[in-house]
Amino acid sequence: MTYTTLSERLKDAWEDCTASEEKRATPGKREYVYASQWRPCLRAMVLDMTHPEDSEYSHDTLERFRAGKDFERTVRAHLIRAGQHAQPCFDVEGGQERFEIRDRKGRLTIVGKVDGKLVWPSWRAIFEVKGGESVKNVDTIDDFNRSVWTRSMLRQLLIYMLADNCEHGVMILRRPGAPHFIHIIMGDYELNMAEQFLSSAEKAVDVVMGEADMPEFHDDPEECRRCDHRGKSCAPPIEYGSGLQLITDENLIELARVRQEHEDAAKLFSNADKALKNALRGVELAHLGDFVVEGKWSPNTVYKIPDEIKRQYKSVDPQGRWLMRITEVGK
Amino acid sequence: MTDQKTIQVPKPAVSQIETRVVENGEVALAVAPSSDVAGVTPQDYRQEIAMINQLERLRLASEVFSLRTELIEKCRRDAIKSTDPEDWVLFRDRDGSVTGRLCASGADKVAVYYGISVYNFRPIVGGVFSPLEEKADGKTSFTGWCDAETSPQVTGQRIENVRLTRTEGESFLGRGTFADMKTIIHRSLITKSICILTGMSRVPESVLKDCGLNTDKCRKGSGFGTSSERVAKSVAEEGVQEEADKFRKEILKRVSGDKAAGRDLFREVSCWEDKDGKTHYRESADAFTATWQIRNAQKKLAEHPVFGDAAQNEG
Repeated sequence: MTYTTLSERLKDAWEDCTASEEKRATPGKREYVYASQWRPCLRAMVLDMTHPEDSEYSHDTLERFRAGKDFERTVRAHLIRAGQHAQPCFDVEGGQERFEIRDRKGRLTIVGKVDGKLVWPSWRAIFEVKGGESVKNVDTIDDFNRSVWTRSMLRQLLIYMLADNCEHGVMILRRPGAPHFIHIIMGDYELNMAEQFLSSAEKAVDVVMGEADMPEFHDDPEECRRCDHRGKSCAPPIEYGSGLQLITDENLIELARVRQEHEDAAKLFSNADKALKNALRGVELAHLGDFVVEGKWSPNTVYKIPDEIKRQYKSVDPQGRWLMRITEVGK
Repeated sequence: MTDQKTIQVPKPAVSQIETRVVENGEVALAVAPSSDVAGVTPQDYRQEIAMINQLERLRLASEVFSLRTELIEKCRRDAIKSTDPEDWVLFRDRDGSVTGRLCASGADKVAVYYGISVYNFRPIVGGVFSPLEEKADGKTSFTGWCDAETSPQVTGQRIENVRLTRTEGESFLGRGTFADMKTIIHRSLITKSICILTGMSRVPESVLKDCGLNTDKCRKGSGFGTSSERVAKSVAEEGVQEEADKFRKEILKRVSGDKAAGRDLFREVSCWEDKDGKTHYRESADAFTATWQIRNAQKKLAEHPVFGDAAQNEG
């Protein structure tokens, strides 16, 4: 038995242990939606139930599940101790309790496991613990919707709050030091999100029960590109854009040549300009080698708008910005 | 003598008719001819105008045709330039011609230039893509279909019923599960459609080189030896190739050029036994990776009862 063999076997032993602990080799078919599996695509939600084999858990994924569980246990244990000394004190109840929502027809629609509840004498809150790289940059509620990896987390907590008729939810997010707490109060915006999730889940269950047709493909091709079912159970049309155009306008061709010719000079200018502005910020008048520097302050208007107000006026234009790259390829 | 009070005169030249080119490139009659151009009827002028319009349309069509040809050529070159050598598999035929076939990784890059759409994947069972399963000769095969087209502004071509079948036991089928098979068929349908529409199933090696691709780094397919031989070549010591070639020629010399006999002799002298006693054979000299392997084979050849040194000397 050589050192190399032992090293390889150590890694195999670790992975086998993780796999047996997680026991999620292949999720089974089901007729309800997992609370953690909200998807913007209804078709994907249906296929998650009917074709779970399309989503496979690699060793790395199982490791992340294991690490998440370990973190959740650690947080829970710490909260129990912290609650005893808090002012006012609070208790920690529950912990991976099964949670179910049934629709108007009495069918099991959404199933999940609540991480726990914080209970004060006259108040309570449901909490969810999340770790992993995906929550590293999440500081506010809106940040959850910025990433495809975190948007389902918010809806998971909101659906628990909706079903339990609980106004207050707390997301406990892993950080290098103390965890970050995000408090969520069920307002109109949050209620709307939770109800939309419930409505989508009901429609998905209708399809699985044979009471509705399979929904159409999602209209955002980026959603399809990321989806586990693409190319397996789901085969949406694939568009590669509108193709190459041939532009023969001599003026534009000349402009492209000029741009290419001066690209290096432009970069040098930009870097030097930026460095000087940083170094000479606040200098109103100075002699610098062969140059004279003149500077002055001018007003910059900033609107400090609370997030909840900003959110009401938020609109995202998918074609709001134009990004362009010009590369010389020769004749 | 005719009843008409006209004099037969030659048709007027175009310059005698005042015309105006309107926006769509066609020519319209601006000023009617003066009365002293006698003997020419309005019918004659209309025929002239029609001829001018036709020539103008042909000229425009010729320009459009040139631009379109230029677009298609540039599109092809730019598309190939956007790929990497690893996106191609080279094949050599019996005449020694080398052509490249685009792989899946390159197909996605090329498809952007042609504005390709691939759609209508089928069969669909219960709203789910589910390749058709068929059994024949004890093996199960899976088949899928799709349609595809290029952007109208590039070539505007369309193909229907692109079909792809994969059978159990073939290479590159992942883990052999149905989920893997669906993925492979889906991906292969896309690649096949793109190769057909863009003509990148067989691109001469010279074209790839012209587009700046280093074909030495391309993957090698048939005509370049077996996959194990190609792997052996890539890890062979320096100088092994030359020695292996010499050994191959020596074998052929000993069997008087009989290729079949040469192959059998080679297998016999180049085989070896592993620690479990199992015999392994090399199919060609390309499988040598080290000089000591060639030395061993040379020794066995020298001692061969029929083709060895002693037998050669007696002969």
